[in-house]
Amino acid sequence: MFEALQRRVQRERGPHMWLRERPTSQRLALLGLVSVTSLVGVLLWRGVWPQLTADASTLGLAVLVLLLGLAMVAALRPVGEKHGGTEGHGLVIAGLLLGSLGAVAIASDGSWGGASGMQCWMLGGFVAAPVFSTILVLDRAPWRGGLFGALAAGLAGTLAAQLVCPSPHLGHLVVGHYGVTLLSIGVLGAIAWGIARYARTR
Amino acid sequence: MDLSSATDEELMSAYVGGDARAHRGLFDRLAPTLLHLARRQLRDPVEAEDVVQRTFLALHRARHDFRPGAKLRPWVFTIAMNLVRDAFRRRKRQRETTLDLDGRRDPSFEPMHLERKQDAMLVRRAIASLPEDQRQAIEMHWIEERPFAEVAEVVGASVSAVKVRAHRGYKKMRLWLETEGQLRRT
Repeated sequence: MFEALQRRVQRERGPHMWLRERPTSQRLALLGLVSVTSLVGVLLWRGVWPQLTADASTLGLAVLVLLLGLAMVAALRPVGEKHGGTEGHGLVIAGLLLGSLGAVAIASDGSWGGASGMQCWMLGGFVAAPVFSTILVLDRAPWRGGLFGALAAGLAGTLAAQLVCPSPHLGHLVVGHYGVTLLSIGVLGAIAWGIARYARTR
Repeated sequence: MDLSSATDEELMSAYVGGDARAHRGLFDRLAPTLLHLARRQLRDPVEAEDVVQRTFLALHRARHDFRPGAKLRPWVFTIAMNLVRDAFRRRKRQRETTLDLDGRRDPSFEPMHLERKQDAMLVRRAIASLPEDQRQAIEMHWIEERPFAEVAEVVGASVSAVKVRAHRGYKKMRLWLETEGQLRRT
């Protein structure tokens, strides 16, 4: 059995494996760096710099940043910690989803407006994609990190939309901004699931 | 480094430093116990071997997360237990455990006459009927003879919580066995 293990370990070479084997603190720092770089890049690209004042929308941004951090920690969580089980994971994901919905909606002026979002979806996607890709590279056990990784990527995209887009209409905030998170869970979550299934067969 | 006299943690530190002999030493030392644990849970030798390999692969990937001064065995056993749970989730079926009934007993559990095969089956079913946390505590402490402190580290709970789980599990087992015995007599 040790020889079979050795063969599997020998296959774990290359820059991808080197990154994945870094301590969790370093992996989280790298993911944070990619996220911040992506967000700043989008802001520079759109020529926007948010003016933060002490109001509800700033509070919402702070909550989003906090939830994004939690999702990233969950996505890259070390393997040696006890699982919360399916129910525990479900509760955490539900909490993150509800919290982020509240953080987005709090920036509304109360009017519904139009429920459109294509441009903000694309903007959010430009940030979600590199965050998700980085998580895939750094994740040691895809099956565990897949959904949390998709959620973290979606929250990063939603944060980008909140920072760039000035619309205060609730309909747009929910569909266009929060929708990035939901789309990420669906699309990126499916990708992560497929990768995890492939990894288990190797 | 003398592998035979090195502690698990010393072997792990050497392994993290790149000592391939230490990796072999760890495997030789831990794999038999992990295999026994996985076989008991999964009752499938092929799947059990896969769990052991995946455990050591996960250990290899996460070796730089090992903190000097931390205990290795709870960490490794937690990884293995997580993988066993995931195997069950994939199977989506209720697991059964096989018991090594050699007369060991817990002081809080009244002695049963285990010579008869039917009694052994009843005890097995009684344990299988328990909630997961109580079953885990009883299996690891009573059957595998691990101290409560080690059980607590593996399952991620306090020692007192594990003792309470085991105590409640034994009470439920007694009640279950008494009820089952009455049903059989009627």
